[in-house]
Amino acid sequence: MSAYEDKRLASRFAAVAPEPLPGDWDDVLDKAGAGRTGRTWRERSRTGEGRRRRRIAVLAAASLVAVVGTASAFSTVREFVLDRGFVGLPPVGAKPSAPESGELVLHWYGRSASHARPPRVPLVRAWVYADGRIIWDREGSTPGGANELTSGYLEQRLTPDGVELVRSAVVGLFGSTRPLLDTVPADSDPRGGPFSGSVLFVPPDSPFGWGSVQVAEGDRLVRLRWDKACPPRRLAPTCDEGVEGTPATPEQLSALRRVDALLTAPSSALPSSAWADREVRAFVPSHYAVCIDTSPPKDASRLLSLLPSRAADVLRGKSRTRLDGEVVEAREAGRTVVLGQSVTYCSKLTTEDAREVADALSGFDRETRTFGLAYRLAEPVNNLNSTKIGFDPYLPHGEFLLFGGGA
Amino acid sequence: VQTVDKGSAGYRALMNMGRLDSELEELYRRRQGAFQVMFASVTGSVENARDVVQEAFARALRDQDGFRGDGSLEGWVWRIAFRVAVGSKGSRELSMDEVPEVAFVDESTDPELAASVRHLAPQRRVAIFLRYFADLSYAQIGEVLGIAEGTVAATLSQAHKQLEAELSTIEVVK
Repeated sequence: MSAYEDKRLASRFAAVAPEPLPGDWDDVLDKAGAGRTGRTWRERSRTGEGRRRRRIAVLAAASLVAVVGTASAFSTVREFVLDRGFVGLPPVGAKPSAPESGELVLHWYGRSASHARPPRVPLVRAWVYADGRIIWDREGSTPGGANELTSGYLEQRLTPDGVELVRSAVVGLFGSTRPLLDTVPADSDPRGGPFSGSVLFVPPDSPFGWGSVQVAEGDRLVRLRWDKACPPRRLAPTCDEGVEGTPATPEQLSALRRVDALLTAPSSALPSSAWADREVRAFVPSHYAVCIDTSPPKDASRLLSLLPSRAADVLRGKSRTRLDGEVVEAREAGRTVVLGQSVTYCSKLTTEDAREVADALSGFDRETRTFGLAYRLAEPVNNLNSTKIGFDPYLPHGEFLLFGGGA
Repeated sequence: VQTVDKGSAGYRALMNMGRLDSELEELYRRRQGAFQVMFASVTGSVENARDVVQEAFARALRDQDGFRGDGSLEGWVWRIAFRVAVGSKGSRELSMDEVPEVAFVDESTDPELAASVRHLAPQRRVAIFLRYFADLSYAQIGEVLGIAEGTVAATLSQAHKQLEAELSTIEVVK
């Protein structure tokens, strides 16, 4: 049977297909809730009794404005607060974190001694905002986390005193490590960049790994970086022999341990008075960076042609930022060969638009070499990066971590 | 850089955990109509079909760990729905013995097509319904029925030949 005939037979079947009835997702949840064990449904119970009332309101509205049609009346989405982290896009109806924008005060990026269970020292990233939000994610299994590999982005709220308490601890650490501090623009490349200057060397047998803590000062970030000192004349995978640094004094280590606890284990390290809301919730962004990364460089229009038309249509109308990666070279038979260069195009999309793009990509392979949601669009050239598209949350200060920070 | 081996339990967990609630909801919103049309032909009414579809999605929500990620989420939900429709509480896989008889809810709309479809062997009929009512690809039909895509192509080819022979036209009957 030809495709044409296949279509004509399909249309004959379509003519006899019964009309489906409206189906409310809430009814599915009700059925699931009756037999669902071992999982909490707090996002539902929080909206609680209001849900039934709201459904009635939706139905009432449908009867009043019948011309709008049944489909739109039934497409009303509940808004709820997520009490569990997630990877990728939030469930439909999840309430975005408010306010949408926030002034960054502090940022931690590094291994956490507070959560170290040698040999595992989990990576923690935390951002503290002037409005009191502390947003963080942690490698590994975390109560309320997305899965056993990552917590996903989670959010708690500090009081102004709580923010100041954490900030003053970092400023105290900076006071004792002033020669090691460096300053970078706050709007530096979201992929991060090479550190300059020296680092604070922590003992190889200490629970600390590598990391950095940054404090916003106007439009600059002042930061301290630490790393493991390399044992003399011994290659060790836990240290970088090319890094220059100064061994930490016991006082500096003590101050670093305090900052580590406050920023990577705030629930237990901070007093009750520091909390406006200690409860952990998912950080739900209002926007996503949807980025296509490829090597060697190609025009954005060529990359869009790799996407299903539904996804390309959404992205085509959006402004794009181009980020050029470093040139990758290799030594081959005594000469240097340029393998290629990566280029990344990023667009800022609302969560709804990002979901539209992601939906259209559901048939593509998930990209495993990233820490967030990404799909592989094309295989690598010269064993460099594959061509992939990722969906990364915008944080309140307008930054995002490309491919979850794991690109 | 965190690298997770594809195929590992960690990868599946990363792909699955914390994500299926929203994916299932989206799948339901997008495809519940097709599910209903298909299962109306199994249960005999759209009302019953809606119950089957909602129960299937509810089971999928409850048993997310059962989705192993080696096929599509939609294919997995179709298999659950078939088990719900035939009242099976058995294994996770749909047995071909459990594939139900399917028929039009209202044969009076197109009696010629209804008669031709009735003459098809049960497996061919289910494949035809999945193709034209559920709008599934050959690969997806294979996934749902647990048979190779080539077998689906052969089954549909035989069904098409039979339908072509019996139908006066494959145009929509006005």
